[in-house]
Amino acid sequence: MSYLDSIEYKESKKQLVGEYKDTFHQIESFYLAYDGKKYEAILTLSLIMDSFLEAQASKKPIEKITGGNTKKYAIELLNAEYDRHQTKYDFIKSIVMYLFIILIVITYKTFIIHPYATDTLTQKMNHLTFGICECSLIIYTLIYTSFKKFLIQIFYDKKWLGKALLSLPYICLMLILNRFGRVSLEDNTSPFNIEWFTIPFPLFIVLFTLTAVSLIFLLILGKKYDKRIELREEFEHYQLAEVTCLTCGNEYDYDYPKCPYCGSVNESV
Amino acid sequence: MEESQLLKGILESCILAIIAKGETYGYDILSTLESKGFDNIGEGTLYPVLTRLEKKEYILCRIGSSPYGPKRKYYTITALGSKQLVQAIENYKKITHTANLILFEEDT
Repeated sequence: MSYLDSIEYKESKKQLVGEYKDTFHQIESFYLAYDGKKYEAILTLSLIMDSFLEAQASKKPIEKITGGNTKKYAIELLNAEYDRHQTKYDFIKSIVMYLFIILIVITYKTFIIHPYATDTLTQKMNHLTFGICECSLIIYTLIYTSFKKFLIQIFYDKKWLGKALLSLPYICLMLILNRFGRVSLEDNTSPFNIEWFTIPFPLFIVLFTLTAVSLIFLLILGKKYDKRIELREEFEHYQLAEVTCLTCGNEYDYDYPKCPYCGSVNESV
Repeated sequence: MEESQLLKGILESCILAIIAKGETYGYDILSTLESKGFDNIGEGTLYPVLTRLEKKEYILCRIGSSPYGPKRKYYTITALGSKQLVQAIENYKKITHTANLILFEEDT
């Protein structure tokens, strides 16, 4: 379970009042909208809450902590946390993962799709060159990453709009693939007359072995160099902020005075 | 020259010097900086500097619990960081001495 659902987190959050409480809620919903429950976001939220609680106790104005610009403050702190965990290992990891994706695409196109398949969708996919698939994937990743950064900056206060717009690169990718698929199907030729995906079997074996070995190495190296492991360990094993009703056996929020299912009194409150 | 530009160069060394005095955390560093006169520095400025120092291996960071309940990052200086701090102080003395000679030179 997430640290954000733990008693520790919820109890700490309850201590915040006034402008500290409002600002924290604003930052929390911003992080959760764009970064889900990633460990970096969870740790940053925890650090912000700690600073807010201490500043609140010493009656400091919130501007002394945030610098007067909540949006900038929230983004800078989260970026610093992401930057902190970025190592050379992550670069190697992304290359190996990319190699792995290429292998999956090659396997799919070489062994799974039958060249004389009658199903329309399968035929469309079959006519897509390996090059188109791969280029689309790279372009999609690049567009998605930069688009996300841009949307975060613009739609800090309108997260729903930001999240909705974030699906645009995916729609574009689907349209591009569909378009190339249709063209190929109609003409029965490759869009650029490039058949990159025909991989000779020995080369496939080399690629397969290389990817397998890289993945094993990655797992071994990860224990030493993946800085996110320390975060994962930090935020695991938290007590869920729920209690089990002694009368009906249902689970509900630990701080409810009564069970919402049967009305029995919560004796732990 | 703007104040922020002047500050950028010196802030890293100041933060390193505060951490060199013993294990500390973000809010405490900020309070120390404020008590010494750096009153317009927020956490948005502080944390990227701390990340930079950590990546250069001048400081070590551990995640612990705070007396208020949430997680807190505690920082300590490394041997490399201590060495860097000595070097930074030397450089600062040299530069300020030279700059003072020029900036406050009185025409005789």
